[in-house]
Amino acid sequence: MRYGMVISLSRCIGCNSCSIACKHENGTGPGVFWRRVVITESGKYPQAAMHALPLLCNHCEDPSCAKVCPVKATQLDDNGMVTIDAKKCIGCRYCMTACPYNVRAYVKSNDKGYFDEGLTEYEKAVYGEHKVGTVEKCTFCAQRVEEGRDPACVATCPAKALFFGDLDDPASQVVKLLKDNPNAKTLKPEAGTKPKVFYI
Amino acid sequence: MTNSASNEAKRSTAGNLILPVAGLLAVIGIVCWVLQLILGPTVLADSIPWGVYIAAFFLLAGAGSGLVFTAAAGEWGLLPALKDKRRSLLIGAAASYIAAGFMILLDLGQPVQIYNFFVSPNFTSMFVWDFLFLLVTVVLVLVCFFRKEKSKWLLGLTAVTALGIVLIEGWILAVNSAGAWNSALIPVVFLVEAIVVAAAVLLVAKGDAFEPLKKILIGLLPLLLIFSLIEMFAGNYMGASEEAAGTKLLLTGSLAPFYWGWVVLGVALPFALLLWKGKSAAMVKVAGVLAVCGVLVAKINLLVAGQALPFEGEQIGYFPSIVEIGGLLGGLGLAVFLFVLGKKFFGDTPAAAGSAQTEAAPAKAEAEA
Ligand code: SF4
Ligand code: SF4
Ligand code: SF4
Repeated sequence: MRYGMVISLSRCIGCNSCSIACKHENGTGPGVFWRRVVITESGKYPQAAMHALPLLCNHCEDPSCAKVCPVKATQLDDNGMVTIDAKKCIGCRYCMTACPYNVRAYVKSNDKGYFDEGLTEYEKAVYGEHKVGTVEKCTFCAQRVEEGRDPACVATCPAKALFFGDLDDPASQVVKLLKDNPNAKTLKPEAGTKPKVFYI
Repeated sequence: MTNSASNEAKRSTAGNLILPVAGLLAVIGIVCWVLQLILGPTVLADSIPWGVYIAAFFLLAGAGSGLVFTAAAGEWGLLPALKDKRRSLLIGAAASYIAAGFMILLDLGQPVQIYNFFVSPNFTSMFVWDFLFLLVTVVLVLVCFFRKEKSKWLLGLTAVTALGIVLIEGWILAVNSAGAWNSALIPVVFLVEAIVVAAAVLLVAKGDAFEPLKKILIGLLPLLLIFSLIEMFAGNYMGASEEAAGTKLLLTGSLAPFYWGWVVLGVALPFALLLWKGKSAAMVKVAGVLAVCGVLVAKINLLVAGQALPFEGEQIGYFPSIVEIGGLLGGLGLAVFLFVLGKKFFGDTPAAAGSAQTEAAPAKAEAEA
């Protein structure tokens, strides 16, 4: 089993629904983003264009973050997911400097919410799960995948630009998409991390 | 009162002030640490995970290793002027390593989970090797210090493990994919910086007394600048976009005041002061302080330049928070505090006095100095 994701850039409309769904599902606080959409511009008026690039942990096959983690808090599991054990993480942030994609986040507080009036009931319920002084990132929504559901970002995307599945299963939609799109790209292949998030 | 007696009195007043001032700084550092533990980490953007704490860690660990090198060089006859300074140099090395450890504690988000270093070490991580080499070197420094029989071989071995620390810390950055770091030259730069810091610290401590150390500094300071130019030229000549962006950041971007500040105040000015024919002992000390501060700034520049261009993100500027500055002063204060305290208690211990003659005599001479 090797979970992976395919992102269709031609479908993505840069709406950030996935980023919000991720925050909602995983209860991350202000300043912590496990997923974001980078908007860039190219060309000059009247030939200007905007591009949206959704970024999340690539759950790399050769993850540099796991290689440098001094206490084995970050590891590649049997499902091909790169996980972080908050009980082991010492918050050294070596992994953040080693990840070529800048997709890890440092939890600096778990008692500051989004609103001036203090924490909402929802925030009170979810922020406690995030340990201050440790590093976090996308989990491929392991809690949902275990139940046979798609990750929250995939389920939410209004443009159906996101696909999730087992890269070892020839019948999975992700494998079919990669077969149909031989030009599928990964980010920064020269970093040698072998990402499992593909862009078509 | 004669001139020399009044100078002596001034020196001893300044000497008496060092311990309380350094102690106060160390207390400020500890307060900052406690504040961090209560309020949460104070580091700025996620894109600059490593800032001034790691720079100070590299500086202090380098200083410790540099002092071990000078102690070994004195012992092996390469720097005869330092032969009788062995005990002081080893106290300085131990103090620097301990303060470096304090900087790492300050930097960690979850210091209470540090026991995982022992129960779950990952030997593919350079941090683990750095930790092991630091541990072994501190133990060897203490053995060299307290051992009754002096052994130049043991001190030589300590210098080898101290070298390991510097090289591993250089590799932590060199094997990283960040543009400004990915260079085989970094361990060499770290080694030269370690020697520069040790030589500068000794000049600050003893003013004009060590002629060979001045020569070392005069030779190595321009070398650091040359290394920096080589790095910039190589990256830009090959057209590597990240290197080019990093160079722009240093020369004209948000890091420019720090980069040019380092060139002028951390390299050119101490170099000129040391070369100046009519220099006084005070000028030599100023040159030493500038050189040490210069190495700290150079390390911050290197760290930030490697992180300020996050993948597909906005270019980030960096300035340490107040708590981080307090922590930095605390780490530097702790090193000085431990050194002065170490000299007070162990400069001429009964063990040393009763030890082999070769050790007791220099210890006494040092205590007198
Ligand atoms: S994208 Fe970064 S954090 Fe995720 S597995 Fe790869 S190296 Fe690690
Ligand atoms: S911050 Fe945590 S997960 Fe990252 S390298 Fe350090 S211990 Fe490992
Ligand atoms: S898979 Fe889950 S955790 Fe990862 S980006 Fe999507 S919603 Fe967030």
